[in-house]
Amino acid sequence: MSAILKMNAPTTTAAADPASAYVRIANLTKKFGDFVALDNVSLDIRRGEIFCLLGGSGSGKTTLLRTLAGFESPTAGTIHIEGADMSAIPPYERPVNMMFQSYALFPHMNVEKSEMLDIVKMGGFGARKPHQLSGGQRQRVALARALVKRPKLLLLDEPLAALDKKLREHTQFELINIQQRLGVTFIVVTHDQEEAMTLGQRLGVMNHGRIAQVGSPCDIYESPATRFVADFIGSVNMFEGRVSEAEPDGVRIECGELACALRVQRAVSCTRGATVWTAIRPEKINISRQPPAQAAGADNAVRGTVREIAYMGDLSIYLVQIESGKVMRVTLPNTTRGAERPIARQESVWLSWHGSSAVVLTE
Amino acid sequence: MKSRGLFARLALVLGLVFLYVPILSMMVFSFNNSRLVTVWDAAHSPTLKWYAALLSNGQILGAAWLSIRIALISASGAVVLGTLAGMALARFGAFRGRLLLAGMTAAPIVMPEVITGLSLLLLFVATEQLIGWPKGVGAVTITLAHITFCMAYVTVVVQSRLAGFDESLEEAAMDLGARPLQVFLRITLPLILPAIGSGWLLAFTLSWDDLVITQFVAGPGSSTLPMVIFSKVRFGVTPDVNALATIMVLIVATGIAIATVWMRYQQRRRERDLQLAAAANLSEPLQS
Ligand SMILES: Nc1ncnc2c1ncn2[C@@H]1O[C@H](COP(=O)(O)OP(=O)(O)OP(=O)(O)O)[C@@H](O)[C@H]1O
Ligand SMILES: [Mg+2]
Repeated sequence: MSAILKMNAPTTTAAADPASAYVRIANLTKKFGDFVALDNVSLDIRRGEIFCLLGGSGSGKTTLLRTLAGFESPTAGTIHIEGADMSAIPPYERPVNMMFQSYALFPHMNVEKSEMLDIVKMGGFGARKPHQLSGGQRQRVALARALVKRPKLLLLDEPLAALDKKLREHTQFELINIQQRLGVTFIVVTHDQEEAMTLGQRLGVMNHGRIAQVGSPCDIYESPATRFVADFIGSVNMFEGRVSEAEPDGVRIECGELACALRVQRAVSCTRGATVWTAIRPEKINISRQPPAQAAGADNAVRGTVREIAYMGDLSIYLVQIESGKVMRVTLPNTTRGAERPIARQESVWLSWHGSSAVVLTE
Repeated sequence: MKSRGLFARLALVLGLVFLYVPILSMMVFSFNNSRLVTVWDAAHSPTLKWYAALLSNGQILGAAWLSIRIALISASGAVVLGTLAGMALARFGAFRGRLLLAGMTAAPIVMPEVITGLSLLLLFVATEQLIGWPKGVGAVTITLAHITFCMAYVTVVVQSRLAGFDESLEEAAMDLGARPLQVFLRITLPLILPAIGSGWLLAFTLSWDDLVITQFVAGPGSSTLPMVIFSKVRFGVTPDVNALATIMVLIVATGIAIATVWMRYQQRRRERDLQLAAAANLSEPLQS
């Protein structure tokens, strides 16, 4: 018996409502010689949103921004901004501005006065030259410069990468604030996933020149579409297995790497006998000394031994070796101070999770 | 330890002697009263009479003026052409004929001057027969020849400056709405100006003291200063040549000294600014 079930994961196709597509990137391919930097990318950006492009090094994020700004011409595919084809429009005529990763401030010019300096809180710095500014100040000036022409679309290539952690977190909220005040559409490239989740109303995850998934931060974290996305965003415990029962409201998966079977209470589009991967986030796993309610031998519960504990302040990470030898990662928030008898290394524990917490991935 | 210090000091002194004694002796003898260059006339020296003689020597003054004009024009012409060639080589990627252009611009640097001079002379003779220009050899052909070989040096200087140039500056300007010509005039040109300036100075000095190539393409009545000095020296060195050379050395040394002091001043100001900026970074109040 096989059942092809409707996937309830969010749609990842680019064919959204055309009226809401402010920037429409269609089948965009960019090759450098034989190397494919962008591989058939289709993406819609909505008016007034902050869209974050996220991906590993060399995944094509900068290339996509540069193609939008007009510095690279696409090998194939089109870009429309507000319905206008950008193919023949040179960079200096596009309604787009870019904030460069290196800031690209002109070393021989003064900052100069502009109302945008006030918006980035740099009002008094008009007479300075770039080398007379600190890193954080340069970042602000670069942002002000990119906003001076009041673009409708602003491209930001790793705008905060050069700032230290504290300043970066502060500046993230400032960026959101400025974006909302000016009503500009932002496309922000970053390879910091926390930053992407803080800034972005929607994220696009890139891998090898392709868009792997587009969705809200919650969609992408809770319902990753592929193994790459699940692994790239946050950390995850991944098990390969075979579907033994497929029913409308869930599946049962036999898994050699686990001592128990996996029961996933989510609608999944897969057939019996198919090879699938199950992803469980570390914070969705319970850890206890007593066997959980399901009891021994039931689904979604395994025994293991704590091998390593890392105290991170707000939470602790446990590395637990289960009976098959595989090590699982579990995180627990440290909600109470000095809990009476914390779980220690080498203790034998039970790990369990709810059937709705796991995600089944077919690719 | 001590012996090594001594050795280093000795090496320094010997090096300086080797480099500067010839120039110094020349300078000293320019104040010598005697007609004989190698005999120091202690009774009547020092004297400025050879400097005075220079000022009343029409041939030398004329040659110096011609050399200056040729050097000014050739340096300027070489800077224009060399900048264009340097831009093409550094910026236009792998266009057809790039290797050829690179080779051709570098050729005058590695080619023996005799060959460059001879081939230029043959070229001028041929074009005169074909199109009637340039009319004979003289100041015009000297200038053209100097532009040709000076351009090679300017190209190298400009090209290496552009190789270290952050191209995102140009893209940022374009992003802000500047057209390609504006980008060049307001961003690229000001930023490579120091390289162009040193290219110009280099070209000026090369043209100013070139002898070999010049002799091929010079004609009667177009003797440059190095040619006049060389022809005088062939009949024995006279003290007025010493005086002339001393003036030339002093002019060059002053130029170098000014350039060095200026560069050091810029460097120090830049370092101070960077330190101030770093200090501001540490104490930067985040809230406005
Ligand atoms: N001008 C170019 N010529 C050849 N290859 C290029 C060029 N520009 C980019 N690439 C290649 O395209 C790929 C994607 O580069 P891109 O700069 O878009 O990556 P990225 O996602 O921005 O990475 P990072 O996070 O490191 O900035 C890289 O493998 C890079 O080497
Ligand atoms: Mg990049």
